[in-house]
Amino acid sequence: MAGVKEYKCPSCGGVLEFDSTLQKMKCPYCGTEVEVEALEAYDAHLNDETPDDMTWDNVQGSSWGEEETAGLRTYICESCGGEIMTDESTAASSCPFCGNPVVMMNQFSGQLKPDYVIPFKLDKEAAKEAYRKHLKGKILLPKSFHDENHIDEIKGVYVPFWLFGAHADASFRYNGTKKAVWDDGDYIYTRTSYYSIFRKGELRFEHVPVDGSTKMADDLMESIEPFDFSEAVDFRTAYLSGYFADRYDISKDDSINRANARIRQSISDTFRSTVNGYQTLEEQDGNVRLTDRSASYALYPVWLLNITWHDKNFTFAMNAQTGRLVGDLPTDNKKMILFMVGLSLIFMAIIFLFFYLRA
Amino acid sequence: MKNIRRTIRICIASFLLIVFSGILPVVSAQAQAIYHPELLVDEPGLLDEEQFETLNCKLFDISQEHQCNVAVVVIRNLGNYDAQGYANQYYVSSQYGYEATDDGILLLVAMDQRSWALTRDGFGYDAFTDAGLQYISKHVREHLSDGDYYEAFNTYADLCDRFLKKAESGAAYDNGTLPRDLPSLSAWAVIVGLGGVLGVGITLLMKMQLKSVRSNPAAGAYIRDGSFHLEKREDVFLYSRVTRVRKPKDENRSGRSSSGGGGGRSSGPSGISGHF
Repeated sequence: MAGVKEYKCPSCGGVLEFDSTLQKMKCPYCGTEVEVEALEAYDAHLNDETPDDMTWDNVQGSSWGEEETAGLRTYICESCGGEIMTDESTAASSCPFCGNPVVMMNQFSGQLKPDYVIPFKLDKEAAKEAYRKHLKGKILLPKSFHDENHIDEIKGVYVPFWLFGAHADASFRYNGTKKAVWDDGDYIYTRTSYYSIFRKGELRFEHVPVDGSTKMADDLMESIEPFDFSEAVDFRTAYLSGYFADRYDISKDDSINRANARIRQSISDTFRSTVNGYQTLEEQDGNVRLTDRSASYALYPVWLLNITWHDKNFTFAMNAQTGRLVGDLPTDNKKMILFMVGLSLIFMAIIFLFFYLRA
Repeated sequence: MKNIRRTIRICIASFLLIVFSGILPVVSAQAQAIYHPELLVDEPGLLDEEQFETLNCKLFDISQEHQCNVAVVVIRNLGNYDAQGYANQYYVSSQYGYEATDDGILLLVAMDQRSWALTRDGFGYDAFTDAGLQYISKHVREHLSDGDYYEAFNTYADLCDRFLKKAESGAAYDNGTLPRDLPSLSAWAVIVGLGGVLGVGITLLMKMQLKSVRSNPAAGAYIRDGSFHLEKREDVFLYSRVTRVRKPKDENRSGRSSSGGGGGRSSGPSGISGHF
């Protein structure tokens, strides 16, 4: 069994949690606030103490089969001694018996250790408020969803991201046309002028994120971007306390293609925006050369809200740094058809009046 | 002797009175028959017998009801005349005014040149303003162009009846008060099509509001500020081509030439004309 990490309150011994508002560790029991750096020093002292050895040998009981445990990890809660079972990528969770937040330290050892973390900036209440705002003004949202839905689960999760940076030298060639139209009374003339357009330049990308967890839908994570990397700090496990966290299970190499595609698209968009004044524009050729490439591993804060409605699950995600919340909502089909017919009739009446009054 | 002469004079006067009291109405009736214009003339025989009778009765009834002649004259050849001049002259020479007045309106159709003219006089000026004539001609011309002559003349008669009734009420149809038409078939297609597209389009926009999870294909947010530099920027002109298409003809220029009656009342009949 691998070890888990709990950060104890130096005052009462309760398990500390990271407070996103204070940007400090805070004891939920006695209210003691401790700086992350101070806590880690305090924690190092505690580690020198010898723990009790009360292991029972030859305990009888049924055991898990090999195939059953293949994707599982078990940990012992330092507070209550309960056995915590998680999947192999869980890096921070809470004890199902005592509820104390725990951090699985082995998930951050060696190459698995993140380089950066953006601490949670917005709390659970902000996520709930953002969710309520998200439902507002959605005319085709079923009324029962609005009235009946309840949040089954809301949890703060540190999602693993690969961050890619590179210097890009690029060149693009386009074919463009300009048109001039005039008439001499009998004929309308159109002069179409053809141009070859060339652009060459450079730009730099920094910290382009690619979701490193298979548990998180890529489109869901890309929808809550961007994250502001300027608020990232060097990784410390203390930031994870009180939240869930996953380690990456998609490798850096497997994430490169997605990063390249997004970078290529942005370079294309940027160069194209420098070509103006043409009626038609067609990209003929484009070359992108990346140099000074870098990749790092970071944990980004996300609030996940799970809703069950009519036996269907709906997942919403909020960027816990910027507050941007996304999540697809169900459609009231009956209401949608009524609106289609009603609006069509209204517009038909308006257009009819236009024709009638103009006659 | 004096009495005899007096008696003879009285007898002669009585005779003349008796004779003329019987003859004068006949003469008067003959004079009315001579000067009563034909309200429907169909030289080329565009209408069959039944259509002719029906339309003739209709024109007569309308003319009598409003005491303003409503006439249709269709001729084979216009010769060297223009339709408007011919119609004006025809109106005067055939005394198309109702009874002893000038009140009336005439639609002339010349088949050789496929031209038409509307002319009016007397109360016709009050009932059929320039705008009113344009309105009537627009509706009549549609049927003439289709070769549906009976429908064209019927439409003309109905519209004249409507315009005369309105004029008798004290305010003739004119710009701003002309009767409104229901949209044409093509306009209905636009109404239903565009209305449907807008209704469905806006509803789909509302539905799109419910979807907020989308892949982000670009990474523009992660370009370092100020890092973009263009080293080379060239726009090279290669060649040009000129194409031309004939301008669509303006229907007003070729299809409708107006003459006479250009606002205000003139001495004698006048109106508008054109081709179909």
